Amino acid sequence: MLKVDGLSVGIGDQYNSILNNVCFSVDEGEIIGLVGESGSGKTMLSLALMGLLPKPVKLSSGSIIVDGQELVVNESKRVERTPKQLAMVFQNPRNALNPTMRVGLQVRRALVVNQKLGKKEAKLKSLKFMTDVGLPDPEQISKKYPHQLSGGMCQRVVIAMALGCRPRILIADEPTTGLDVTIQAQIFDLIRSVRDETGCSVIFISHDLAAVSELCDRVAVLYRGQLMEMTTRDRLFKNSLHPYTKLLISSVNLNVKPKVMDRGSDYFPNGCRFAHRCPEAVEICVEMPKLRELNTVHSISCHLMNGNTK
Amino acid sequence: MLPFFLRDPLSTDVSIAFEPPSRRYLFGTDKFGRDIFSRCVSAARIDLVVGFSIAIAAMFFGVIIGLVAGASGGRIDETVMRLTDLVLAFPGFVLALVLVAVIGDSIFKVSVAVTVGFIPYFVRLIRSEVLLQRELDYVDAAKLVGNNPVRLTLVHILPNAVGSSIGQATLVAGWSINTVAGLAFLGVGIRPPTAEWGVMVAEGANDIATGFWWTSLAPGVLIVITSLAFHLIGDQLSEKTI
Amino acid sequence: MWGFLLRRIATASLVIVGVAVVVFLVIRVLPGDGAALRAGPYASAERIEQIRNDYGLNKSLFEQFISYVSDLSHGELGISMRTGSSVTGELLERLPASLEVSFYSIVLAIVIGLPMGAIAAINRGKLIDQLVRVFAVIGSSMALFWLGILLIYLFFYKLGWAPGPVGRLSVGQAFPESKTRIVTIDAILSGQFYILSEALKYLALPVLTLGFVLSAPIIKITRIAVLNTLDMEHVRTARSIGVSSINLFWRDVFRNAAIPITTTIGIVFGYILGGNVIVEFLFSWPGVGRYAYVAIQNNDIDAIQGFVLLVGILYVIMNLVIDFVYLLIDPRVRLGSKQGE
Repeated sequence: MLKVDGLSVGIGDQYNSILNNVCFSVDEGEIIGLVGESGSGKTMLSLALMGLLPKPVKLSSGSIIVDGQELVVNESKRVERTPKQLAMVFQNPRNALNPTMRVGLQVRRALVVNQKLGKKEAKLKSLKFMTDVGLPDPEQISKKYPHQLSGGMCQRVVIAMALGCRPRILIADEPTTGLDVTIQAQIFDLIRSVRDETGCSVIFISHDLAAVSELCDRVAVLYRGQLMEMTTRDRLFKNSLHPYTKLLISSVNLNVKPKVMDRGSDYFPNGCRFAHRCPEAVEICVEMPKLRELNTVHSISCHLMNGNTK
Repeated sequence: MLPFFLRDPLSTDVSIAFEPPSRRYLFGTDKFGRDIFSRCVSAARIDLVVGFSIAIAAMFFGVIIGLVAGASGGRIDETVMRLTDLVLAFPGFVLALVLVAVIGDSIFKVSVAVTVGFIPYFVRLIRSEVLLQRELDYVDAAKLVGNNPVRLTLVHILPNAVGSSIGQATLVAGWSINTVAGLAFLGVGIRPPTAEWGVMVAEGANDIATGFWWTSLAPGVLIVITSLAFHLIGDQLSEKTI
Repeated sequence: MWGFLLRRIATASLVIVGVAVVVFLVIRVLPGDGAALRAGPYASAERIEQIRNDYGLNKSLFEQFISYVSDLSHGELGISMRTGSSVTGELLERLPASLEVSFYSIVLAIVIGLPMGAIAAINRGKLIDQLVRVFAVIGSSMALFWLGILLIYLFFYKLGWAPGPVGRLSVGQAFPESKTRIVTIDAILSGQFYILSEALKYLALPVLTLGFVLSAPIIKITRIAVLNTLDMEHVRTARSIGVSSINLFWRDVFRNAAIPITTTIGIVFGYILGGNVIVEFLFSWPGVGRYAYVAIQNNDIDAIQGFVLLVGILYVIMNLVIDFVYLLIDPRVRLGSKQGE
């Protein structure tokens, strides 16, 4: 469904400062988790896929293939994608909605633009979508403005808008941050049912490992723009091979940086991005490790996998 | 006495009236034979000094009032805010116009009248700064250590508050020059034969009909350039433009 | 919504009361003799005494205040020293002329200001952005009176495109049947299109002068507001679902940028009230601004008082109108911030 190859994103001269040679693929109907600390590049990766990188940031190299079609990179170094290919649910649902527009209209707009429906049809369909995402009394809610709704409801509206595009790939960026646990569970159920009904794939971005472990089939771990490891959920949590992943798992809460040594972030400037904190770093880590596919479901970017040890 | 290129701005000599700009009379002469260049320079002294004075005075009073209001809170604060709302209920130019009509013409009086209209800007600016700073931790910390609230206000809050009003003061200087000149143009506040740019424009306005364009051009351009300068500098200082 | 409206009306009424009191105090607490000032420099001692009695200036401040208030409640702003007639009447007679110029000026300012600001914001950093900013900076530094003179010189004396600054119509021209006493509207209503075209010609320069100066703050705020709105997340969301550029600009950017722009337009109204005096003086426009100018030249205290009161009240009302506009454009104001399932 989605194949990303050699994606590098950066600002100005530093062509790969934000994302370095990221490669991964997503199959139809998979739910992929994308984890990492803040600053790891998760959001930037999603924006790059969406062609919505902020002005100074550019896609320096790489290819993105959606459903067999390669996305064209235009002159401003952004990909051109249609909402039918990829749609995104952004963080901060309240900010993501237009405060001067009724939410019903915002959902309807997504439908009208992407499915070319007439007014009446769009209205009916939007109500259906809103019911699907679990909004009670969609007729009433349609008339309301974002500031009149709770965070959870806003989030659901945003999801309804994204679904209205009927995307092949749905990217959800921290969709449950700031919402309480019961709502979180509902939204997970929603994501699963969307996947079941439409067969789309989902990229679930989060720093919450617990959530990821609950929802995702496969998980990718990102650190400072470098894809460290990507494998099935079980393998990642029980049997991870990458030193960073192991550190992550051991410190359940990612917001607290594990107290490891830090040799300074420019320790190996062109090498492995984790080397400065890696307890198992060796001399060869001064070079950027290639992403190796250990098997069909496990990729890892670490010199240690090539038989290099201390 | 005067440097060689400046002449007495008030001395008249009708025989050289309406001379166009030349090497001798850089901006030409007006209908009374007065050297426009010298008058412009003399007017510059007035306009610039007035502009600065008004800005500084408005800032001075505005800061004090704003500090008191913000630091006191309660009824004093309420009263001050109502008063500033009242002053701001009148556009500045009209307010100054009426005040001068009531208290009389003179450079000082016109300055006072214009200053009154600008004080509220600073009151609001400083007051919101003070309210903000009050919430900051270092103020609480200082209180805990037992610092006197008045001293607290002066030493901690004042420097920050004043810093943010420098940009506004520069803008106000530019606006007040425009206001004073506008009033003078209408014959209010500063009157002929005092050399002031607005006065000169008024004097020269009718000469245009007879084709003598230079009598009002020079002072007018000077007003625009000065305003522009204050405006640009003020914007930079208050970092309002992107 | 109603709560907001009522509160704003209550506040506005209080401010108007305050304005009336302040005007009274400022005018009465003159240094010098109020009667002598009114009488002028050539009056005899008897005349001064007569004025003192007529105007009740010999009574105590409190008594004067009472009569002031009772006059006001009858809509009576005093008697003009110069003409002997009611100030209220004279102001009302001249108000339509001022409204006409002001209205066209603000319309012009908005019509050129909004698009320029928006275009500058969208093309940030490019040449058009720089040009617009230069235009706005010049507009803010331009002295209104000098610009008027410049335009008169250029378009009347040199090019002869515009008529001379003699007022609303040429000296001999008859006015159209007066229904609203706004010449352009009256001319349309009575079908006298020749007069309409004449009136527009005479309006051209004053409106250009005032409009240009007014457009500067509008351009600035529009540019900043649009720039800020473009960065907002909901714009990104809209783009992500594929909304067209036009719809995006209008519905997502402009509707949200409109809020700070409206605030600035309220402030711009204030400039009009002051700018009127200068523009009407320059162009011999028979409006309240010129009336004020004449009153000041003649020390006609009561006329000045009436004018200031009028200005204060108008400004408060204009700001109230701005608040109403907020109601229309910002649903958060209209519906209050109730949150909940």
